[in-house]
Amino acid sequence: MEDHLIISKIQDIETRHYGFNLLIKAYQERIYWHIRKMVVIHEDADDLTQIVFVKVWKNLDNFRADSTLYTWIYRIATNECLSFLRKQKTRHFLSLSSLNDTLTEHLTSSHQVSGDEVQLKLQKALLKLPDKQRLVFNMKYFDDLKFEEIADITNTSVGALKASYHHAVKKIENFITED
Amino acid sequence: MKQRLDDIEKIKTPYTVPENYFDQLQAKIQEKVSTPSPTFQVKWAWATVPAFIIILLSGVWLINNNMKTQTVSDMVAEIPEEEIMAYLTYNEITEQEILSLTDEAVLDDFGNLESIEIEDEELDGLLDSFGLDEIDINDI
Repeated sequence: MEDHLIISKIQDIETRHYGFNLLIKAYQERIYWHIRKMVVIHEDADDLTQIVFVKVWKNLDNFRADSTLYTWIYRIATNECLSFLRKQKTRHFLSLSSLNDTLTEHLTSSHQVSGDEVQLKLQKALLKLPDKQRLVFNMKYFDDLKFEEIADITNTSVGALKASYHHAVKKIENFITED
Repeated sequence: MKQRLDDIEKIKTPYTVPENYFDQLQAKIQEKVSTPSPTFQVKWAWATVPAFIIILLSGVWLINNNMKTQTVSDMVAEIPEEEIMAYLTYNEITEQEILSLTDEAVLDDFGNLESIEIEDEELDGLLDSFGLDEIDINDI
């Protein structure tokens, strides 16, 4: 589905609902997976995905054609994820275990990781990265986004992103080798 | 030996999801954007606040007003005589204190004690109850 078709339908009040349905169809899986890889638990990812699309719907008038629809939705989802994780960390502040420990335990006990032991090891290693670095790694490694696109979404320079990604790869390789 | 990321198979969707999840997700999102905006509901809820404040203030005013109409005399009148007597006895109030609080007109009536028809036994009982049996009535 081409973005310009979705945008043209959305911009016309009479076809806005139809255009939004096309948008959901085109982006819901990508956005869900983007969120799920950050928050790990399905129920949280489900709630956040719905929140993101409701926000997209409410802010359709604020969408500017100079940004791509794709990066605009990703940016909303990314901000929601980071905000959610910040709140979760505040809740875990007085707890004995950190949020990352809880999510790591969830990975092991819920059997929701696709693939073999190596995949589980990789997901556990990812949880040891700082949130923003994990976000950059996910977008580059899993979603195959270009650094320029990630820069647009995260409002960070391409150089900083390349350094962050390179550093993340090294850390992950160390984690999975040690584990 | 160091494990390389390139050696690991890349799975783009590394977690499992419930069956038909994405079909239901689209329906859930559509339902949320079709129902009235929650901000309208919040605004409607705020609109009821003045009404609640008026009801609350009316309640407070009514309670206050009822309390004010009941004077000290009314409240004392509601207390049984036996309780007042027991209180006076228990607190050992001196006869001088009682006299200082007594109305002048009542004290004037003591001049006509002879006109009060009261049996001696009853009078002794009353004087005894109030601890006044040792007072010379002519001293009053």
